[in-house]
Amino acid sequence: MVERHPLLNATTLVLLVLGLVAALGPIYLAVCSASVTSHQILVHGLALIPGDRLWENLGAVLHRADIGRMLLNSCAVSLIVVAGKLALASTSAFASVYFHSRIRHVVFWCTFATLLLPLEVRVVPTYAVASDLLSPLRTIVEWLTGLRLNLSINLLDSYAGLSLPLMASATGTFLFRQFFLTIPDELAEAARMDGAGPWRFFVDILLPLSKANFAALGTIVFLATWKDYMWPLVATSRPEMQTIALGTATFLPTETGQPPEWNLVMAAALLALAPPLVVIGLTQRWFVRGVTGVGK
Amino acid sequence: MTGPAIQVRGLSKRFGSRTVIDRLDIDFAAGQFTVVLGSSGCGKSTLLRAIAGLETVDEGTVSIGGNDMTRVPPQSRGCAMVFQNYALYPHMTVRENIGYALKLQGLARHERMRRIDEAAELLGLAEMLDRKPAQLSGGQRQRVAIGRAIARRQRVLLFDEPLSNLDAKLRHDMRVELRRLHDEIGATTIFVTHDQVEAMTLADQVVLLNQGRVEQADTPATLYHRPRNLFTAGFVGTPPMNLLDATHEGDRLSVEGGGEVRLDRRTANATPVVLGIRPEAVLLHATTGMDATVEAQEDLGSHRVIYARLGKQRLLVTEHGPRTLRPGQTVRVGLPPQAISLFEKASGERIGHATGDVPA
Repeated sequence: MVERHPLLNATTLVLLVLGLVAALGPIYLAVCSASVTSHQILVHGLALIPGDRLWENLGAVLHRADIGRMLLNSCAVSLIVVAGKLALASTSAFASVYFHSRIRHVVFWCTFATLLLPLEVRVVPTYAVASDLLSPLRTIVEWLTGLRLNLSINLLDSYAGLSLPLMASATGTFLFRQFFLTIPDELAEAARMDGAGPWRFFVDILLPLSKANFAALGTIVFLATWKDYMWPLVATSRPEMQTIALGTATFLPTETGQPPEWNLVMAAALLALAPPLVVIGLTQRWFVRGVTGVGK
Repeated sequence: MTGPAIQVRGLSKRFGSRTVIDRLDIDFAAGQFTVVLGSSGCGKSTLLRAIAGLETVDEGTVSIGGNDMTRVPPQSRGCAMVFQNYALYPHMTVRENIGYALKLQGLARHERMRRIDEAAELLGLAEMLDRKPAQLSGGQRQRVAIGRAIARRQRVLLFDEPLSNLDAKLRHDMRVELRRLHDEIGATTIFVTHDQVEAMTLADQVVLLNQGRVEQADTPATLYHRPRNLFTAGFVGTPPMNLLDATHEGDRLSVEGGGEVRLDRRTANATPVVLGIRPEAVLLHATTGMDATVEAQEDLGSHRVIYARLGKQRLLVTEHGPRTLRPGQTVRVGLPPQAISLFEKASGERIGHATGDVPA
């Protein structure tokens, strides 16, 4: 329903402008503050007017830390998580919608219940598992046979360790499930009559129909992984495995008495912001369709 | 090449505690157009889906061309199906929709294109092969769905209420076209519908289903003129057959609230019966017969339906030609014995097969 009324139009416009200011304001402040000296910020607070030291500050950031390596790490981890999550979410939703097993509702709601246990809640056990992946296996073997195996896999400080714990999540499964439920059953039946097995149906029919959902979920997951701070902080100790979210924080003072260099923090944040902007720019059209559900 | 015969034996299907199909036995003759007719919820779609293999059955067998197909997966049964809502793949063009099954079969590209073009030619789709379903009208989508079925050259075609989403004019055109297609292809066709006009016009044989059981399986003409029971008599025909309470004694049939008709069959004792007669078989302005009072009439252009009253019973008569009656008028109506169907009052079953001949 579209209402047309002068007062309504004016109100909407004001709301839109306020929203825009709220969204762009901080970025403007960051750009301005990244272009002044540290001294200026300490004296006057965050800069409201752009200065002339943007390139110097960016150069200092690139010189001080291995930003390139961190951006690469972040890109790699985010892309791995996106690929893994999309694959897991779409196939698990496919299973829960199209395979009429007696336990499928149980499985689905168990999956859904994992929403109650985000990484922040289970960070200690997740760390324990990531640092010693085979410990449950060893325990079982020892309990069954009395043998003490000398096997261990440590996922800390690796891409696998950074990405695997973030991959499985119920939100993606739920998103795909809700979309698959809107596809008429006859489509699956027509495909069966045409001789398509479940896998063919998934690849030839479901995947093309859910392109927009893939784009939307992929974008959301990419951004969430990109800005995730807690897990990389826990799971990495070597500087060359750090992500950009951690890298930005290295410009904050670690010792009392050391003056904070806010201009460099802001410059690093700007560098960290660039890749997600590119991703959003590329997927924006599909993203909107996927979120509003008009992608079919 | 005609399609195979299909036999359904002792077929039952239950959803929970509800029995949708109850020990059905039906023969679908080879290469014939069979319409399964029934009101919604009578199990006709379930029957079709059981034949297609999309629905598992609780008891009984489905055999196609003499082979037991009860446990065979749908794609191996040699059936193609047209769904009520068309079920076209929205992201594929018309060409891809029709060709998808052929591609899965592993046919070479030029053979695929040949068959797609052939089906498109047959259905007048040649102009729209590169369009997507969303760019087509309802009738065109219906054609694509049919094209998808016939391009596979399966010998059995299954239709699940395919015309119910079309408007009246288009439905009529598609009916004519479907019958022509069938005569051209010769596949064994099973067509499920609740529309008796579709049943009467399309079918070689009509199977009338009611609550999961077969009420009658016959040619449309037999179904119309010699209904086997009161259900069929009341279901088939618009306006429906007149069903009048009467008593049969000796060779006389006395209609409650009306007069007598002399039949050529006799009973020893007086038996309560139901007299069935089609509205168009009733004679108006008869010299002998019974008096009826005209209550109302509907003018349909080509003919009028007259709502008359015989005592407490309603009698429908169709009148062709010039209008002769006004509401409130009394008219003498004749019930020709050869047009009368008699049913047992208690069981609703037809009595005798001598009466109610099917006109040649």
